[in-house]
Amino acid sequence: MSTTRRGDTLIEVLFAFAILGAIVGVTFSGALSGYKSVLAAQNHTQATFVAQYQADALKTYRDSLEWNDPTAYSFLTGNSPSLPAMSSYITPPKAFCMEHQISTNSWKVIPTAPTDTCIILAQTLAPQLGPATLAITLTGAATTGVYASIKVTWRPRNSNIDQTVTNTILLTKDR
Amino acid sequence: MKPRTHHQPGFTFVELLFAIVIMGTMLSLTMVVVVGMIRFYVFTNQQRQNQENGRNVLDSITRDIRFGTLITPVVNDFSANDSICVLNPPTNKLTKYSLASNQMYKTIYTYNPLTSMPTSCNDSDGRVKDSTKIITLDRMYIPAGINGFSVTLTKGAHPANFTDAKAVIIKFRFLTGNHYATGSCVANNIYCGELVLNTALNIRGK
Repeated sequence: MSTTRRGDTLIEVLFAFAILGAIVGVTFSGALSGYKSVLAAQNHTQATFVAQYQADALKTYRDSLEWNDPTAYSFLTGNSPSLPAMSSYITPPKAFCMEHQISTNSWKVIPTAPTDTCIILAQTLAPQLGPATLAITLTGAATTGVYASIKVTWRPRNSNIDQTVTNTILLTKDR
Repeated sequence: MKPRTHHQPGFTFVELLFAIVIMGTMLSLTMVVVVGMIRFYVFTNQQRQNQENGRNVLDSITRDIRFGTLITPVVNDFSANDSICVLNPPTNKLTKYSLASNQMYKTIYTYNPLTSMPTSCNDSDGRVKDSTKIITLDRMYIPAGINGFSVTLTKGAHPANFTDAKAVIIKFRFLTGNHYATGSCVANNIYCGELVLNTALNIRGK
């Protein structure tokens, strides 16, 4: 037996395990990263559905009212406290959201300020997003059509960066 | 026999025991991490699949409604039978979606000829079943009733005067992973996920 042969020292064994631990750690962080990606994709899916939900609610609201008929309930001019004039949301610009009223089974326009009903609504529609803001803004004119921009904004857990999904639709008199 | 010199050292018994203890501890920790990673991977994969399944289910239903005529629900009758039926008039085909446990059934019937508009999913007069497509929602738990898969037919802004404008609100809630027997995830259980998808579909404007 040669005098140069010897066993591993404790330091060498510890060093080997340190390397093994580092490899496992890197692999684990990769798996965690994949999990975060899935969560992010889920949030985007939910936010997209919320934006689509609001867009179709707004279309239904428009379809249930004449475009600009002053003698009836009108989408643009309104004719009742419960049916506000949507033109007042265009000039000056004012954000709102669409809420389904269970009692009447119909849609209602909810201003985003000063109440936080739209935040609560976003949380109800997409609970996994956490606190999220929901805002529809209108631009355009009756002659050319009105663009509705639906924006859902949320901040993922353990992140300082807001995420946003925006859906823009064109509302016209003849659909 | 060659005498042992101090230049040929081995482990002492104490060193050996110490190394074995450290190695055992490290191996145990490593195994815990590896097993956790595998469970995590499996769960994450299920969540991804279920998310796709849920989105596909809603996309499929809303697409059929856009191009067809909604037969049921008429007024909130969806919870009664957990199914939704859409008729495509040009082809006289009726598509029925129904949920049971962790599977969604997409059954297509053909009316030949279509003598009158069917009024419910169970209206079987003169129709022939074409095919049944089963979409398995793997490890997806769908709580029964309104918390699982619900459809509400809404009116417009003024229900008294403008009932012709309608929207369908479809809510789809499902759970993925373990501990779902209660219908909800246990708090802080990272191996259980819940997803709620809400969508509305304007029928009149489509």
